[in-house]
Amino acid sequence: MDITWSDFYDASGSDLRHGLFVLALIVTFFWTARVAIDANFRTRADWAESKVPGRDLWRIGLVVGSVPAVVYCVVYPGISLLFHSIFTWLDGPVHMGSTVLAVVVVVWIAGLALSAAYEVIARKKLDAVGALTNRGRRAKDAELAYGLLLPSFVLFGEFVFYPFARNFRASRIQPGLFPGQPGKNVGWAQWGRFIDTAVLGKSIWYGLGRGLIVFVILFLVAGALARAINGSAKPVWRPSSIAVLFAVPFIMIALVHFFDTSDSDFANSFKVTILFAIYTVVPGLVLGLLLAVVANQRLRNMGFYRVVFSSPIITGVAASSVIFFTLLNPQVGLLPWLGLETNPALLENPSWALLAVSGVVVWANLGLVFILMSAGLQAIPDDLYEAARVDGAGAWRRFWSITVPMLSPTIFFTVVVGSIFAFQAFGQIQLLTQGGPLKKTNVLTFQIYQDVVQGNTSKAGILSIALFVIVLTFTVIQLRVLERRVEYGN
Amino acid sequence: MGRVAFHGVTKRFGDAVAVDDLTLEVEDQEFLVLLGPSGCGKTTALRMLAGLEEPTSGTIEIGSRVVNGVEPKLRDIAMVFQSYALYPHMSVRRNIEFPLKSRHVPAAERRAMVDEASRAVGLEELMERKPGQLSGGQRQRVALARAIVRRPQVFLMDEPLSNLDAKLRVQTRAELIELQRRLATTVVYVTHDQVEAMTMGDRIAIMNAGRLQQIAPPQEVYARPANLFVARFIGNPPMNTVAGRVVDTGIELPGGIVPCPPEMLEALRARGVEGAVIGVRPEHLLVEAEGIVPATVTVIESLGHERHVVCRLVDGQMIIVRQASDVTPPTEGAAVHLTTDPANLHLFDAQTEERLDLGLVGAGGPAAELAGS
Repeated sequence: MDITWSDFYDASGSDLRHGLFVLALIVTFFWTARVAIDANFRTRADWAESKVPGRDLWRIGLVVGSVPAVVYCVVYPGISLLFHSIFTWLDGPVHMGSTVLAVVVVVWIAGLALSAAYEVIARKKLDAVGALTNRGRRAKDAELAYGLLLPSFVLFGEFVFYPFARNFRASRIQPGLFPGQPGKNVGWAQWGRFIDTAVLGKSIWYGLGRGLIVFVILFLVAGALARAINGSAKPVWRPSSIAVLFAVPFIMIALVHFFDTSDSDFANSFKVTILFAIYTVVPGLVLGLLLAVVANQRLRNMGFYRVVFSSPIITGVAASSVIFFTLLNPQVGLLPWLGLETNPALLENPSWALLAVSGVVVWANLGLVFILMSAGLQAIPDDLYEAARVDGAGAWRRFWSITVPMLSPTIFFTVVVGSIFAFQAFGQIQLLTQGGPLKKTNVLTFQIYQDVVQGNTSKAGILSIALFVIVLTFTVIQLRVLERRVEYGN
Repeated sequence: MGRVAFHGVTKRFGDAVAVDDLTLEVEDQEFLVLLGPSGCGKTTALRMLAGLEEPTSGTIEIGSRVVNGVEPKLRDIAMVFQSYALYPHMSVRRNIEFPLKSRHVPAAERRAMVDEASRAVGLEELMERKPGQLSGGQRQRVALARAIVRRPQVFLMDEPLSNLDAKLRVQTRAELIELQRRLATTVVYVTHDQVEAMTMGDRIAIMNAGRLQQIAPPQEVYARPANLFVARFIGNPPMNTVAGRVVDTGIELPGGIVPCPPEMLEALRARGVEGAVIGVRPEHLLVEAEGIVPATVTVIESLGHERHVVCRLVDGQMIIVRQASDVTPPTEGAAVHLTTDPANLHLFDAQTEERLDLGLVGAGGPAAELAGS
């Protein structure tokens, strides 16, 4: 296979995907710069008090971000070529996947080790000044805690952890050609082959290489800048910062390249899942917030409307799917009754099926979103709104200056939970479209299901693990945000 | 100008009357304190002035304009809330800036005004902090700066010192008065703390159960309480009040008759008063071996600079006498008599609980002096 310069320099592409790529890069720049700068200040107060003109993070992000932008356009197509040669030299093209996977894993482990080391050092220092006391008692508390947790560990072990581990095994078995023929254990090679050929396509690895370069340059520049601003203060590394630092650039850039170049089942399912998440989370959030704001007014009979607005939460997935399947039916449903002709039917129309399914899911999730938003709204003290009224803020400004920022932890939580729901959605797809038409609603879970049904258990195993990693990432973000939420408290 | 007036303002919440027919005027640049126990309607009155509640009836004026139905932002007022109501997600600077931003003040001007306001309350060093990182006193100053930054005609303050510790409260009290003098604006200040009211107010408006009881300068409120409620509410320890009966020679209390001048008794009879409540401030009572009203000393509380002698009358009513610490104390359990200068007596009608101003007693008023201030 001949490799040309244009394989690496895809900035010449003019389509939407290229725009997405640049967007991802910019986000990556900002995020990495932010984390790097953050890591170089002891506390937020340090940061706040440093006498820097224009000390807002985004300005620094802008300055720092423009450097790699130049690097991206000029320098690193060449570096990517270098990377490709290294990979080719390290491994044959077929196993390139596992090699780079190994590199990523090593980098991750290094990051985790660094943060663990940080923890140990920090703990020792804290111990030295007597900040941590009663270690013995703590250990005893831990024993009790694990003892109490044991029954649930047993249950989880049987029904979650063990199947999860089995999944790894299943993923390494090449299924037999005919039903009934035993599979063959081919080891981890299955993963490399699979990632390289069936799932991803090659370009993701160039993307990872580029991500690594951007990340290193960016981190060094931002760190140096932050230290220059902050005088001689030594950097303080937080474990979470390190983890994010390692993860974000890789994921962002890899994802975009992946969209750019791959047309496998996995890529399609991944795309569909992401779109499905966007189509369900964003409108659900807006609608839920709207209803919650309306229901939060002190009006007559609001209790009744609250019950109505939150009622979808008690409707099961199967029930709501069947209801909407009927409503969307082109002969007997709601649409013909409204005088709307749909041909082909909405759920069979490649341009509309995903939107239609998303609509059903938005409705089904609305109850939960409404309850979350209402709880968030009720936690905002009334006197903030009164103060804002006296301060001259109209309803619109009160909404954007008080409601939205005060609600931001709730909004973020809702987005994360909604995304996880979207990644796990199966019943709606199974009942409404079975992944069709033209695989336009073929989300990851449904792809996995189909692979299993077709006997392709190793592919299904690998896909489920990939899905697990994606959901895990969201969960980690959610925990971090919930932690930050505590900072609001007075 | 910063004149404020309530004309017959009533506020009902369902069946409950929070403010009942309130009429009062606050002059320009006056520091008026609304004082009363919790639930007396003082905060409701303030919130109606702010425009956060609409009166059920009556009119409210700010300046020379009736503001009923006018949005809070158009009333040219600023308010300091009891909880401070700082925006927790904004820095101190953005908190102070918020009222200006809401009114679309240009950025350069805004900056200057914010700097000036923060200097006035001493916040320059803390501008980039979030409220969560500030102490109670600092938050209070942010709330103050946010109120003064716009230079409104009238400041409304709802118990702004109640969340501070005792020491800081005394200091902030003085700073608030200085600030008000310097800015020369009208302040309407709500509190349940009579010490704050006595020390800060040009005038005090005392409210109870939604009704205005008395509005007068602090000294007058102390010296000439308009009714029994005010008499018992102001002063620490509170005024001793004993119900008695008007008889031929004076007013009969449990255990003795307080002699009254004949012209006074005549005046009482002329008004048809049969039962009268006698009030005496604790500092105006003397404990002596011989005198008019017999009592038993039960407890002596020493505060260092003064002493409270708790006595019981023959029917068990409690009377508190305030003594300077250099007076020889009585012994606990001693049988004594209580006397006072008739000029220090306050008389109230037992039926209406209103002050009986006969032009004879308590007219000059004893030099008021407040415990613990």
